[in-house]
Amino acid sequence: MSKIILTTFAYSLFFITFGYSQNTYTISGHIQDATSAEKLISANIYNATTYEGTVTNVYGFFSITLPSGEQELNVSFIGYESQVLNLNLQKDTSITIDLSPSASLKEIEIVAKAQKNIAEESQMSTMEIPIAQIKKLPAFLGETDVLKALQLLPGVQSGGEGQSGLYVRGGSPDQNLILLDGTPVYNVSHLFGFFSVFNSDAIKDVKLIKGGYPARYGGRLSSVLDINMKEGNMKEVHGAGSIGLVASKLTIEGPLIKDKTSFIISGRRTYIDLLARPIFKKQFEDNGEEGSTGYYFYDVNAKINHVIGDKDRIYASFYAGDDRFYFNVKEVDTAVRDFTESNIGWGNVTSAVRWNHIWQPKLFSNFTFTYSNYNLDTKVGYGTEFINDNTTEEISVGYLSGINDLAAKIDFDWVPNTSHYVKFGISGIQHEFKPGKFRLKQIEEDLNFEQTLGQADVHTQEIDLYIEDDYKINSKAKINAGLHASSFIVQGKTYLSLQPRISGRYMLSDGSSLKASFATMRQFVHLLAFEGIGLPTDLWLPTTEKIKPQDSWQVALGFAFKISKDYDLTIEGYYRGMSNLVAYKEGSGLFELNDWQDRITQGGGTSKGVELFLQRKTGRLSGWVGYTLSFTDRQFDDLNFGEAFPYRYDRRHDISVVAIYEVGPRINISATWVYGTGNAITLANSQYVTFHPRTLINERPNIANAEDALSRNNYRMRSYHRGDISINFVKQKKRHKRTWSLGAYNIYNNKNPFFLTSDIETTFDSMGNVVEDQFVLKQQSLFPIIPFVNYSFEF
Amino acid sequence: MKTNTTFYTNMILLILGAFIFAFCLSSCEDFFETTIDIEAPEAVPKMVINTFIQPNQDTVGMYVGRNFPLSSRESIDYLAINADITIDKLSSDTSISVAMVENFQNNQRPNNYVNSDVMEDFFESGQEYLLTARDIDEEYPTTISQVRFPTKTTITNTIYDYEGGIREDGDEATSFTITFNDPAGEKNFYEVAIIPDYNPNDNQTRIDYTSTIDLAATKGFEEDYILLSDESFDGQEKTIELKIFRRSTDNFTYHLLWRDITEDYFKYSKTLKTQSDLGDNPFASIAPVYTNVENGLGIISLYQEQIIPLN
Repeated sequence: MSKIILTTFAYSLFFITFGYSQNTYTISGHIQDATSAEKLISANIYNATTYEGTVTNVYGFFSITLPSGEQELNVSFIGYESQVLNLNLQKDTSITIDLSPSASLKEIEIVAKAQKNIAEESQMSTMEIPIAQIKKLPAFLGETDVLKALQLLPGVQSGGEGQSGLYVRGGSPDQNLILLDGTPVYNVSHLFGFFSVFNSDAIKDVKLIKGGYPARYGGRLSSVLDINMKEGNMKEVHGAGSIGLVASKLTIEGPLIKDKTSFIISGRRTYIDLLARPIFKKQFEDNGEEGSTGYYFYDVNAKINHVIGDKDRIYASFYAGDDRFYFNVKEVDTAVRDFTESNIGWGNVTSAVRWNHIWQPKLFSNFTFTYSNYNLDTKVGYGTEFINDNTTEEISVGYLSGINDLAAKIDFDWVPNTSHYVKFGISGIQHEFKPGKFRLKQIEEDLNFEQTLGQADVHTQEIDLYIEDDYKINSKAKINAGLHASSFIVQGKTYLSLQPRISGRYMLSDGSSLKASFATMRQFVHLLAFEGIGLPTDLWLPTTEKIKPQDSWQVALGFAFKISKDYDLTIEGYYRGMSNLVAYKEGSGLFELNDWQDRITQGGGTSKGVELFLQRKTGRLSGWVGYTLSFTDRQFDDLNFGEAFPYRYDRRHDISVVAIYEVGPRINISATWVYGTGNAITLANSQYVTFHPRTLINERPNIANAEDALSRNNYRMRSYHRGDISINFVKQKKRHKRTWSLGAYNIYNNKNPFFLTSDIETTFDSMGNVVEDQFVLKQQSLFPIIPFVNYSFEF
Repeated sequence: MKTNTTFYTNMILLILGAFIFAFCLSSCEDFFETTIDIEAPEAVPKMVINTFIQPNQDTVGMYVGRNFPLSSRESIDYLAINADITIDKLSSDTSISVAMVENFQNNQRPNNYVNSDVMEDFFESGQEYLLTARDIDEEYPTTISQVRFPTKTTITNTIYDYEGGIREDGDEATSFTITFNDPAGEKNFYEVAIIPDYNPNDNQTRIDYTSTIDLAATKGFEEDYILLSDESFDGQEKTIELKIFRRSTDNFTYHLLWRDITEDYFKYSKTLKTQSDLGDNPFASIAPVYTNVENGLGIISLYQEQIIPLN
């Protein structure tokens, strides 16, 4: 099989290289923003007569090979003034094209890849949302959130109220490959999932791929979320910031050496803990104590971009983010002082160094070295200080877990002609998994005990290779075919996999196209999580000799139709099969000392659905309606007695409506409305008496009260729906532009389900006798209507 | 200039309006209430059947009851239902019925159905049985269960060690090393415990908490016992070390309680423990309890029991 594939590729490469006329020349270079020199991703450049063309890659690089002679080239990018270039092509030419931003941006910029223009691409199930657009949408507590904006797209769901986790086409959040400048980010949430770690001021571009994954991506089953940070303004210093109810942020960017080296640095921090500090201090003092308590998160993004020459460019980017909860209190004014210390901290660090090199006009390469780290560190302790003899007794328990990745990769873009765009590359990753350790400490008079118990670290190596070709067969048909190969070495065992990927489109007419894709994916890392909320205790674990890698395959069929000048419609159907998914065995939990491999079980699942996306891109009122009909289940031999059961996030209907109305140049109003079928949970409907056979010697059986839950996830919570609204007042001041944003989350105060509790409420008569026991089921909601105000500025 | 004035006036009015709106809302006590009562799911009526049967029993007793809504607290004495119970021996045409106990006495609990005249060879090792329960009032669906006696295991050796080291909880222990032959080619399950002062005529006999560090072992609902699955030692000779708390006196004979059990019972005991252990864990959903009673609840357990002196 491998031989056949390799031979096919070899012949293909020969044909691609030599199967065309040699009387051609190549125009290559970069397309960039004229004001900042920021490289533009997916900008179009094409021959105005033949419509042969290409798009820029994530570094703004393009290469187009055309016949010699006069050439009229159109260069365009949404939100920018198009440009026409007239060239007399007599040799290979290298140019940098500057595009100027449009004076007014009237289009809503959700870009469905299935549309005309962009529909020239063979890839399907891909969505991009420009950051400028995300900033216009209503935001929870005024904090713009990239991941929550993505949840408004069909096929993408949130896990629960306010959560930033993404559930894409029946997958779980760990099955999303989330890349920040090419570096995987493992924990993408702050504050138990209510905010994502991505600071929108530092982000240039967001792309979500839900299916038909190109071969260059690997390692996750459900989706790829590719986020690129801004590079920093090469021309002049600029900044942006905001002051909100929860957090404030500030971003500065500019040239270190004009047109040669730029930087961007962005920071964000919450300040509830700082504001509440005097209140808690007073409370502690009133109790004869001193101490501090609070919660905060912060994140920092930084990047340096240096142009070495026409052919070389280097980038260094860095992200660090942390969440921290602390409660420290100590008695004062006594000779014997009790104290308590609790600290929970978790966070990511990612960094990447990338070197772009143009070997020749048709061949572009990028070398990347990345480091990614996620750590959870908790400590709970108490003790006593004896002031008179200056001694301390202390006992504490800590829990540590995490993952470290060190990776190197090289990617090549080879554009032999306008019919082929070939990408290939190789990467190696060294993973270090820390599956959970307890740190025990006890200090007493004659005892100084300190020990670490728990799971041993696991080191693994992963190597990935890929090759893909975006092949334009004729004016109507185009395919993207590729192969991703991966190997994973763990505990002396090697897992190998070949993952074929193919997607294609066929233009039915000028305004409509048919698309189809097939992809297989393999995932070597697993996330053990309590379903429902994004707890920092979620545990990243490797594939081992005992725990197999997760696999999936997905087939999708889509239809894109331009209804009129203003309206576009996309319909996609998909089916996904998954195997070797992981879950806790019934009754198993996180804080156990036994081998984590014994606590989990593996099984499969399926997901199928239809997604509809109706979009209005132009005019004062713009927006979209997304609808998803889906069915998702899971099957584990060790759960639900081996029977298939609905996935917790099996959402039969999911609707999102987004509208943005440009009242004028200084005011815009946006509103969103979402609806989703309730989550599936397990709930008992009756109880009964059962027992154990203590058959010995007249001993009665051990009677137990049990509850009948019929099956796992047998009950549906109430459906979820919510409306949000935001009004943005924008004004250009002398030296800066400021925006006041007012709005409300859950504008009509719907009591959406977060979790359910049950209780027996007993009624007593005046004599204290029980009159009635009433079983009550209560739905707890999290957020009522929450207004927000936010001030942001740019200079 | 005029435009600016209008803009600022509108903005101030908007903010003022928002404050009035928020003030009105906050005066409504229930507006920000985040807890609401919702309708509980209705109970699906089911019969509950529990019975534990060994080969060659001449008396079979069982509990036949019903489930009841989560909203009520009911005593086991009021849960019995009037049913026709038959047990068919599938390898022959013989069957027996089990009738409700008249004038049910408290000391008979919970076996409210009894047949004390079972044919001598009706319950035979290795045989398969079908138990059918029909509610005479037809309020509950008919249940069926098909079960087979597990193969009886041969214990080949036992070693008693009064000073058996330290248990995993740090207590001094007495240990018992048990060797047995696991039947090949079939899934086998065992329930094991140590009886410290076994006396057939004494109704005060108790099981001691029995522990082991053997990886094939687990705990079921009754925590004094150990459950074993032969998944990792199918068809092999297996040795397992059991430990109990070391007693100060040693003037009696320890006994091994050994049960060959069915996979159904193994799952039932484990899932009953899981549901019981989850308790008030806020992150856990209720875990369903396994049953081999089709259309009903409970467990029909056929097992073989051996009580073997150890010292």
